[in-house]
Amino acid sequence: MSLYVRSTTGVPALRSGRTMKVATTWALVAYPLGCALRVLAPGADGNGVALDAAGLALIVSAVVAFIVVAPSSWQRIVAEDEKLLDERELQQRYRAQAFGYNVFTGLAALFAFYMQVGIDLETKKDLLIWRPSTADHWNASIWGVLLYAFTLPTAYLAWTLPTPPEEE
Amino acid sequence: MTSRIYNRLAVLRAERGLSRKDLAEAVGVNYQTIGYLERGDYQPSLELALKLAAQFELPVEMVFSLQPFEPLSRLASKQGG
Repeated sequence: MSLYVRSTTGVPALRSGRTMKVATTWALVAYPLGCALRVLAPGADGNGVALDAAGLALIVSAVVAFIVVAPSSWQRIVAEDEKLLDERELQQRYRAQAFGYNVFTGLAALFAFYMQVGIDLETKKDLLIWRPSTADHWNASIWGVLLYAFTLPTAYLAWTLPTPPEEE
Repeated sequence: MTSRIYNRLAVLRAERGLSRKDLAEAVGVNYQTIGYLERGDYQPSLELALKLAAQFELPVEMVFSLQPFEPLSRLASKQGG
């Protein structure tokens, strides 16, 4: 599952390897960090508001980073219709998707394990560790899952592909 | 393990006055694929190699090789000497 924003001209946006490395890494790091800050923000006192705002700013910056990635030629390899890709692009897509799948399933397993431990501690030892419980928490989790699904394969390309040759 | 495949695409393309985009359109790939091939960052399928050789009207072994091609200057000096 992925998302590529095709331009009206059909020509993908050219982004440098460095831009893609920064944008994909930022999207993957800033989003969970922002969510964690918002969860940690205590009540509505001074510190809480500042932490909450910082968390929100990180989440917005992660979305902006994905907006940079979404119309790029790199994202095109990951998410464009297969019929429109050539043999090199398809080969790169399969590698990127395999990487994304492995990391994604690993993270999903970790999340399930954390939830299981959390429930176990609560029922057997009466210990509470934070778990997503409100609609807001689950909403943020769903968007995080989507962001990771869309960005992980492209991040792999950004960190492994040499800089694309330019048009002459 | 795959061995590197060398090619003369850049020389042949320059000789015919073709841009990467022209050659890419002729063989049905993205122009970046031609660039990756020229830089040795991508190894073509047999189908693409044959299409490229046909585009230059040359046998495939004159365009692609498992050994580095001799520079034209050295070939010319051999012929001259």
